[in-house]
Order: sequence, then structure tokens, then C-alpha cells
Amino acid sequence: MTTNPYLLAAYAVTWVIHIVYLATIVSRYSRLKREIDELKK
Amino acid sequence: MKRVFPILVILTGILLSYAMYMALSPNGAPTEQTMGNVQRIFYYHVPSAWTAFILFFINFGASIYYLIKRSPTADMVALVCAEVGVVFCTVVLITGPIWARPVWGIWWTWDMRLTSTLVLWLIYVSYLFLRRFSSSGQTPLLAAALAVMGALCVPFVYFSIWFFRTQHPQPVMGGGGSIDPRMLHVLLLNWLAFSCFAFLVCWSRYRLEKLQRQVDEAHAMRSLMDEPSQRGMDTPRSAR
Repeated sequence: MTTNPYLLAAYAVTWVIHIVYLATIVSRYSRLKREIDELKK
Repeated sequence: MKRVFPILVILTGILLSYAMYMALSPNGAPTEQTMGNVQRIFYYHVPSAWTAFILFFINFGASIYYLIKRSPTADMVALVCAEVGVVFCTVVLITGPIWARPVWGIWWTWDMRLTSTLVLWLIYVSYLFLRRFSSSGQTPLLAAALAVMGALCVPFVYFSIWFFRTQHPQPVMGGGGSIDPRMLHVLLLNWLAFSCFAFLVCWSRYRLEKLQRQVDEAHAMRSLMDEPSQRGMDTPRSAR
């Protein structure tokens, strides 16, 4: 199959959007964990 | 529950990889004769749109439930579904123009389907802004009312290509369009994979939201407990 740049761009953009969103969830979760540790002190 | 989640993540990862292989390989979905390989964008664009619509409908149901029962769980479900739905709707709004450029020769046209999808996205983005930046105690109530209004836009977006003359292709199912059974199989497989993925993302986001609210509650309790001691310290000063 010949690689179509538009096809590649569409699939890449889809996964970039999902990965960025997942990264924000992970970063918010680790910030909350730190906050919980501070609250426990 | 903690054991089930990693298993589901692995299974969804396998399903997503297989669905992507089927979407990209001519052994899975046949190459469309007119558009060629660029048509394969459809296997990501359409399932993302369907997943976003389902999430907006869950948001609608949860918002109605919140308006009736004032349930914090319903409020959290509504927020989570709106957020993940916006992510999927963003994918739709970006992959659509990427497909349109080689096929129509333009990135965007103010056609009824495209414009109504953009309006739908803007409604749910404003919902998220309201949730993020309003500090009023009435925010969940206002957001639920906005979500109910926003959900009315979903059927309009879906049926816009039935009622208006648009440039957008006809619906795959239930409309005037027809599709090769192998293409339909790959489309449904991708939809299943994206639905599982959306479910897991919603689950993680729900847990995060629940934890956030518990932390906020703990902060509020702590400041309430600190207040009397501070007041106790203030009293002699004011008496002086």
C-alpha cells in the first residue's frame, strides 16, 4: 500500500490528540497524589 | 476493580491495533475505487463521531438525572462524558478537513453538517469552560441546563445531511448511502475499539474527578478545623 500523506496525517493527529489528553489526565493525577501526601502530613 | 483495569487496557490496546491494521491494510478493508487510500480516514473519522455522539447523550441523561435528583455521581458522569466527548469531537473536526482537502479540493466549507458539528463542539467547549472557571455553587446546575440544550444539537447534526442539501457524504447506515460489507465490518470494528477506549478513558477520568472532589473536601474540612484555632488566637488581640 502506498502511503498517502493525508491518511498518515489523519491517523497521526488522532493519536496525538488522544495521547495529549491522556497525558493531561496522568499529570493531574500525579499532582493530586502530591496534594494528598501533603494533606496527610 | 484495580485488577480488571490493566487487563481491559491490554485488551483494548490489542483491539485498537487490530482495528488499525484492518483499516490500513487492503486485506482488511478494500481500497475505494474513486478516492483511493485517503478514504481510509473514514475508519477513524466516523467511529470518532459516533463515540462523541454517544458520550454527549450520556452527558444529557446524567444532566437530566442531576437536575431531578441533584446526584453528585450524575454530575461527575456528565462532566467526564462531556470532556471525553469534546476530545472525540475534536478528532472529527480535524480528520474531516484532512479528508476533504484531497477529495473536495478544499479544507472547509460552511456546509450544514460541518457548521453544525462545529457549533456542537463550541457548545460543549463552553460547557467545560463553565465548569472550569465558574466558582459559584450553582455551577453544576447551570452546566446541566446547558448540557440539556447542547444535547438537542446532536440529532440536528446527525440528521442535517437528510434535511439539507450538503456536500457531506450520505450516512453510512439508515440513509441513502451504501457500503461494501467488508468496509462496514472494518468500520464497526474500529467503532468497537474506540468505544472500549472511550470507556476506559472515562473510567480513569471519573476516578480522577472523584479523587479531586475528595481532596477539595479535605481542604475545606482542614480550613474549617483551622478556623477556630485562628479565631482563638485573634480574640485576645482584638480584646486588647
